[in-house]
Amino acid sequence: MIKFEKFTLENGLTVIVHEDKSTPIVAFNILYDVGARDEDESRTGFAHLFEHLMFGGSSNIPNFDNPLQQAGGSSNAFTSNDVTNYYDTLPVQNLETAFWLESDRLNKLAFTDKSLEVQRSVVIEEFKQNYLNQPYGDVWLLLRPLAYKDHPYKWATIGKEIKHIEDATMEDVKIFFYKHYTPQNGILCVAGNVTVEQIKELSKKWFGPIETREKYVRELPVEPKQRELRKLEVERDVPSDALYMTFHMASRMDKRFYLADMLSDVLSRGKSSRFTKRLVLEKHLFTELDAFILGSSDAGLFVISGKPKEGVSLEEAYAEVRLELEILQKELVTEYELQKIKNKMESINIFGEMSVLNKAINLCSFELLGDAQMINQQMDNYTSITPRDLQEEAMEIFKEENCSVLFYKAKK
Amino acid sequence: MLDRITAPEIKKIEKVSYIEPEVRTLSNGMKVLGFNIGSQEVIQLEFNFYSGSKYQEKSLIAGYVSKMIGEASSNYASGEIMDKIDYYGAFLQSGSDRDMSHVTLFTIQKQLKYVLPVFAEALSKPTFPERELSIHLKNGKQNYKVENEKVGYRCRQLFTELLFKNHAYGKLADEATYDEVNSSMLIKFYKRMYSASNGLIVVAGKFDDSLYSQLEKEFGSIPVGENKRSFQKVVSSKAEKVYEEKLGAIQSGIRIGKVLDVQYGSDEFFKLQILNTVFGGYFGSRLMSNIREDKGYTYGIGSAITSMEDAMFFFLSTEVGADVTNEALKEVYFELDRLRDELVSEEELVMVKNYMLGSMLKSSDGPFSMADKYKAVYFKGEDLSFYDRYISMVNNVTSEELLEVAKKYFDPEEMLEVVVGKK
Repeated sequence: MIKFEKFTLENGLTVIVHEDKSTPIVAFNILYDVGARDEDESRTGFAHLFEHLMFGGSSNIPNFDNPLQQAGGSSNAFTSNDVTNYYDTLPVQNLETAFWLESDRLNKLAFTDKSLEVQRSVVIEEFKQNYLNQPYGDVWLLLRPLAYKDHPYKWATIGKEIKHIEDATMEDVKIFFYKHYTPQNGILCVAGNVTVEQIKELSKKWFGPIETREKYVRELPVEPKQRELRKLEVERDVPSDALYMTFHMASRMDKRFYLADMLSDVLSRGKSSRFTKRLVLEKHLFTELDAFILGSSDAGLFVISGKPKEGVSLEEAYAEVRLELEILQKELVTEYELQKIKNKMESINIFGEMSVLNKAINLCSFELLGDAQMINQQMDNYTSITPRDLQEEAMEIFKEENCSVLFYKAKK
Repeated sequence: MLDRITAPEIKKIEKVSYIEPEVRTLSNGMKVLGFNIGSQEVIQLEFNFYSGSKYQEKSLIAGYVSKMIGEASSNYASGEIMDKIDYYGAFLQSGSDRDMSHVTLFTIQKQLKYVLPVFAEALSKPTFPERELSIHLKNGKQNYKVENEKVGYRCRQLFTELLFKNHAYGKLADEATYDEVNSSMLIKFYKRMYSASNGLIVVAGKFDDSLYSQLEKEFGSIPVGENKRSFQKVVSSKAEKVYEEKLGAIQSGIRIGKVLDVQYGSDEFFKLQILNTVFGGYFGSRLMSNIREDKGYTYGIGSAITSMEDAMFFFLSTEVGADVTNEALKEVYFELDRLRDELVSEEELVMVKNYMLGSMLKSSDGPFSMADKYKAVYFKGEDLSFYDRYISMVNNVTSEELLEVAKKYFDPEEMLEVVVGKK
């Protein structure tokens, strides 16, 4: 059970406070309700590029990291298709430094040409390092547009192509900032040896004076139901073939989300999971095989990815995975298997509470979905699941017409 | 009107607390270090053995021995142990570095009594079946081929081989090694190395005293064996420049460094750690500020000083755009020279000091981190006074002292440089 208190400033910023007396470190996490899904299709990669720019100085503070390091702290951020999340950890006695820095960059960025020019290059190098100059690096650049036709999840957070990043102008940057970086769009959580009164005071002092900006209302196209199996085959200079399959699944707030999550656990959580036990170890058809979900806010993807052993064709590998999926459709998952997964989730939950930063990020994420209190109801969503529920979900989700397949072939 | 220009006052970190473990000994002589300091109901139980890769007759053996513990044992067929460990919601994590191996169980407290006998069986009676091993080796080989395509990985391999040319540290597996390892080699290595006299148990989290008697019951019968620990010091490395071209690469991997002949825990050692932080040890470091934040040549660049039992070495590494490889190299050497020519400014030094104290505070937070901090010095023959000396050095070191160690140890002429990619 994670206890917290929540309040909203007059300008719309939501603030959550979680007291944890056991640590000298405080976590300051601020999440903005903007991700790659909010980008224009002709200017993708912008939310992520913007995350980099947020470290390039604000109107009153030329450098973000130096003062934080002076205070013994450090900072980082991540961007997903749904959100942009910034976090600082520092010794609790210097917490105010984080308030000072974070409020100034929400108030107004410095918008220097130098910062834009350099971060464009840095992001382009990141694009090359992680998506191009790596075996299998471009998989998500291929899979997303295969699985999504209308919804902006069809592009990756890094962007569709390097050109979009190269073309970003200062004008774009300013428009993006004032549209998305507003107090109403932010959720702040402070976790550590603090009091609610103290955080109220600091929030009012530093974030209170920031003006309310126009509320951005998100209107995204709904992905139409997929009606036929989609296949894509590519050839690349990689050492071995790889198989990828995606299935459309429910959105984060749907009850069916938990079913899909649990199905992925039955298939591939732990060494005793079905994929590892049967297809990797017993039959030895794959060198690795995983199932996982993209826990996205809008309707997401259930993903299977694997590398067939040398000598096993992609067709054969695909057929074997289909067989496993059909077993889930035909036979009930055993009570033992189900209990195993529930026990595992309980452990993960408890281990997750060891870090204040982890707790702060989760509280903000749940608050964005609707209510931070959901953090304490997650286990119930899983414990109530029955084998019958899982079978019904498997029938629905693993329909062949709901699937996109990528055969990623090694050039001979 | 709120003053947004002046930074809030910074309060110095007065102290970082380190905690001594409880020390117990099992009847077979195996030592147990206990850190009963958590606030969450979790336990980390770690078995450490002096059985790193430097003791193996052939590459891969040490790694696969630790990896396969938990897969099959005298009383459980392949997969049964993992199934039980998974069932109780526990996690098994094992691995091997150059000096040591470890097998670690993570569990929530209420499941400990169920999972402990299973873990004991896994650890003390593994069988390393030939069939499972051959699957791992085939997978490992395929994975090796994938990794080897990455300029960063290839660069690290080449660098390590050249830096430790005539030492076990430099003997790495290649594709062929995956065909040469068999089950009897693993069994032999396990029997020789995984004994009570050659290992140490570290337990951390929230537990009560009965844990020690449970450990005695489950692990008191691990054979006594003998201590196999041995040392063969490396004190220098050869300076050379090596370039391996990779066709079609759009980035180059760069790694530069040298072996340091410095005593772990000495004043010079601490000074070098501080100097390294200035150079490439944190986000605001000179390498990051210049090569990423000013020039935009890379997504990331950093440096470190790594201390192993037989050697200590300094290195920096990065992946940069292929078209700017030479420019990036030039900047790296420019920064090395600057470190040896100029005093670090007072402002920069204060930032580094505060940053380092903050990270020390962070990295000793919580029972598992505390156990790690203790182990790090314990295995090097030090005790917790190491951290007191470290903190005192961070607080008191001067720019002049840093310049002196920079001149002594960071001579570019003595460095090994490896570039893989395209220049």
